[in-house]
Parts: sequence; structure tokens; C-alpha cells
Amino acid sequence: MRTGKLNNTIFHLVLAAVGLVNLFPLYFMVTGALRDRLRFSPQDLGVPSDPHWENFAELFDRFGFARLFANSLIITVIAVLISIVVAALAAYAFSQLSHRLLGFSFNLIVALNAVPPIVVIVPIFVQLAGIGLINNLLAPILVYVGFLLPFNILLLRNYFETIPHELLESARVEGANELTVIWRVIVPLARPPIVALGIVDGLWVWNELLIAVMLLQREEIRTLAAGIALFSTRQTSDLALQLAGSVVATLPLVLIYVFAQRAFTRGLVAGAFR
Amino acid sequence: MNIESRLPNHSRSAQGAPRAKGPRGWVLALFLVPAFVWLLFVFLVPIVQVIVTSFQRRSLTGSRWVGVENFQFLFTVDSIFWIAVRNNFVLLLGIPILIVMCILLAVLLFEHTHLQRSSNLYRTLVFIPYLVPTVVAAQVFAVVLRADGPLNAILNSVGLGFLMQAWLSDPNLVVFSILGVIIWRSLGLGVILFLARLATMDVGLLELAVVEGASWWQTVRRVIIPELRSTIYFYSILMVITMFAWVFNFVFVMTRGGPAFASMVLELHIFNYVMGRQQPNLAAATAVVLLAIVSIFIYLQYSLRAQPVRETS
Repeated sequence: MRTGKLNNTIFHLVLAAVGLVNLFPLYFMVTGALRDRLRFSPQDLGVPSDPHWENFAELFDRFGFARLFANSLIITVIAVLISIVVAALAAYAFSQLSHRLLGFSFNLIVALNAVPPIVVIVPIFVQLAGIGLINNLLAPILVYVGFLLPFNILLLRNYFETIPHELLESARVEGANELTVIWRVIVPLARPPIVALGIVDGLWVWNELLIAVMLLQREEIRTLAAGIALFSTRQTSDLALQLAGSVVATLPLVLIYVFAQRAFTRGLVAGAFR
Repeated sequence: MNIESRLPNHSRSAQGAPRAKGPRGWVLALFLVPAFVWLLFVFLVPIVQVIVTSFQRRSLTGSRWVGVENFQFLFTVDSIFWIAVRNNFVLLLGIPILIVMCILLAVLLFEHTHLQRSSNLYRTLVFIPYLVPTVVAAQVFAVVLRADGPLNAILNSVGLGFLMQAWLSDPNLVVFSILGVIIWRSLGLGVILFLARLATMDVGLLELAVVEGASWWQTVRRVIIPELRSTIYFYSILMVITMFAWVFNFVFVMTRGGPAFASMVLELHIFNYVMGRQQPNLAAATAVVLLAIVSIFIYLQYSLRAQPVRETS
């Protein structure tokens, strides 16, 4: 497009400004996390000269952050895995069958993407409380799988439809049953969207707060997101520690991004709906 | 992949091959069962239950039907309900701003990629906020936006002290402050989306515009924006849903709905009814209202789109 010195300068100026605005909160988070807890002042803007690394140790020793981290990790990995498998099965079926009822139910599933979680979490909470599944890691896993399904099914079905029929036919001719067809033909072909889904879903579950707070109410069983959100009620004046907690929650995501940048952005393009 | 195949209910299988019938059809139908069962229990049954609960009132002797009493309470007596509704709609105002900013940034980044290869750094910079978990963003900004916090400190030190505000404790400002944080975080995704769409654009169109001597603004208006229409459409639906259904994280962490309910939103209102005030019926009624509002918006946007648009990509 149009080049020219002026355009170039404007470009750099605008993007530098955006970059600053985007980075400052993170800078503040990291420097704040390393400050002296007792003398924390929100006005401090410089890099701390004596970084208090023990703030992080404090998180893990006294506030059980390792536990929170593990809870989040378990929930995220299991929920995403199950959801993708269930969605892939259904998406495959949707892409191979045709029936008016199926078309209708697929549209219904797509519409479910718009349902606010708060609307369904209340009765779900009541049900689960009745079965005694509150404060059990199984509860959010079950709920998250369900919540991820509409989006996963939508994306996977659209992708499966682009797979040439001949490939599937030839596998079937060689005597493969449906499951084998999926496992040996579809899955390898669909690796990009599956990976992308895994990332988008994983991000969503990791971030999720509402369901986590309602279904996991005892401290040891909480997720990282819930821990950080509720941290501020218990320790309103210990800002350094709060920021340290935030750093711990963000670091894995940043690291994953750095190492898997392309898959990440491709995943986010696919993750338009989240 | 062309756009048509990404719309739901694309009823031909790939390359027009015949659909499965007979015994194979039954096996495939079986594959649908786990998903259907799951969706039934996570979405359909709860939605029905919520609707039913909203017409009831629980008492010591069980639940009884009270018709629209709960809704009447919400609409006439519950002033916080209306504050919440107003705030959710105020948040919607941020969407046009968000879209404009995303497009501008995407165009800038696109131009630059076209010219040089060094834009990866900038693209990362733009995208970083989206990596940050919403609760983290909310928590950090809760500190940054304090009256005695760094934002005000910076404003003061560069001589803009008159711009200092009680960002989160001023009832008139708080919703806009929260909106700002939401925009901060959502910008990255939008830019990536628009960039991806621009990348599939026919560059010849741009070159034609240059040849015809179009100004930058004209090129944007007449070439780029029409190309981005479908992305703008999807993104705005996504953001509308977000402003009604996905802002809980921000409000809960930053203000808990305060000061004095000034930043209450429907999600939090429902949450409070359930967790704090133990009023599941009012919670259900509010949830029904929320669901209705979201459904209306989706329907409106969908029907606005009803004119068939020829997309090439």
C-alpha cells in the first residue's frame, strides 16, 4: 500500500503507543509482585532495586498456590480432552449424515453458543448440590465439557465437511469400521483445528471464574482463577502478594504463547466466538 | 475455504457425495449420543428449570406457582435490577469503539507486513492483553486504577493532573473504567481476526486503489471495510454476547458491583441473588430476562444479515 515517511512514522507512533498501553499493566504487575509487601505503594513505578522473590515462595508456602495451580491444570486438561473427543464424534456424525432433524439440532447447538453461563449454572448448581458433587473436581469438569461442546462441534463439523469423501471411502473399503476411520483418517487430517481448539478451550477453562467459584467452594479445591479473584477479599492490603498471584497465573500462558506462537494465533482466529 | 461452507446447515457432504444411510447411519447416530446427552444436561434441562423456577416461589412448604410475581418484583421494586440492565447496555456502547480501533490497528499492521517483515513484534504487543487471564487483568487494573494508583500518578507527573479521577470509586465513572479494561483486553483478538481476514484479501484491489489515486481514507472506506463486513458482523455478535454474558469476571474482581451497586451487571445480580441473598426464584427470573435479551439481540443481528451476501475469499 502507500509507503512514505509520514505513514511510517505514524505507524510506529501509534503502535508504540498501543504497545505501551498494553505492556504497562503487565510491567506494573511484575514489578509490583517483587516489592516489599509491607511498604507497597501503588504509586511506585520504577523497577524495584531489591526484588522480593520470596513473595512467590510465600504464595506457595502459605497460600497453597501449588494446589490451586494443580486444580486448574487437572480440570483444564481433562475437560478439554473429553470435550474434544465427544465433539469430534458428534461432528463426524453431523458431517456424514443428513436429515432434517439433524440439521435442526445442529442449528440449535450453534445457538447454544450464545447462552450465558450464569443462566444455566444456577439449576446445575442445585442439581449437583443434591448429588453432593459440590467441592468435587468432577463437577466443573462435567460442566466445562458441556459448555465447550457447542463451539467444538461447530468448528469440527465445518472442518470435517472439507475432508474429501474418497479418503473415507477407501478406508472403509479396506474394512475399517467407523471408529478406525475417525482415528486413522480424520484425526491426522484434522490436527490443525484440533490443536487450535485445544488451545482456545484450554484458555477459556483456565480463565473461567463464575462456574469455578460456584462449584468449588472450599479453599483447597479452588481453581487458580478463583483463588486470585477471592484473594483480594481476604488480603485487601497485601497488593504485592496479589500481584504475585497474578504473575503465577499468567506466566504459563505467556510461555505457551512464546513457544507455540503460530498455533496460538491460528487457534485464536478459529476461536472467534470465545 | 469459502464462507458458505462455514455457515451452519451446509447440507451437502464434501464434494456432494451421498450421505450415509442404513446400518452405517445407525452407528453414526450413536456417535451423536454422548454429545446430545451432555448438552441435554448442561443446557436444555437447566434452561427449562430456570424458566420454571422463575415462575415459582420457594417457601418452607415447598415451591408454589406465583405467575409473573417475580418479574413484577424485578421490574417495579428492584432498582438494582434496572441499574444492572442500564450498565449492560452502556457496555454495548464500547463495541463500535472497539471495532473501529481493531480495524485501524489491523489496517496499520497489514500495511506494515506488506512492506516489511518486522511487524511480528508489534503484532505480539497488540495481542498480549488477550493472553492475560481476565481475572488477572481485572485484578491488576483494580490496583492501577486506584485513586492513589499508578494511572493517576503518571497523569500527575506529566502535567495532566487535572485528568486524575477516582476511576473505580466514582459512581459515574466506574462502568466506563470497567469498559476500558474490557476493551484493553479484547482489542487483541479483534485485531488478529481482522488481520486474518485482510490476509485473504485480493491485493489487486489495493493496488488498483493506489493506481486510481485513492487517498488512504478512501481506500479504507471503499475497499477494506466492505471486505471486512462478514468479520465485523461476527465480531460484533461475539462482543454483544460478551457484554451481557462474559463480563462477570471483570466486575466481580474489580468492584464487586460497587460502589453502592453503581457497576452492577445482570450476571452479578443473578450471582448475588443465588449466593448472597438465597433467592433462587428471583435469580431465575433475572436469568430469564438475561436470556431473553441475548436471544433478541442474536435474532436481530441474524435477521439484519438475512440479505444474502456474496462472499469470496
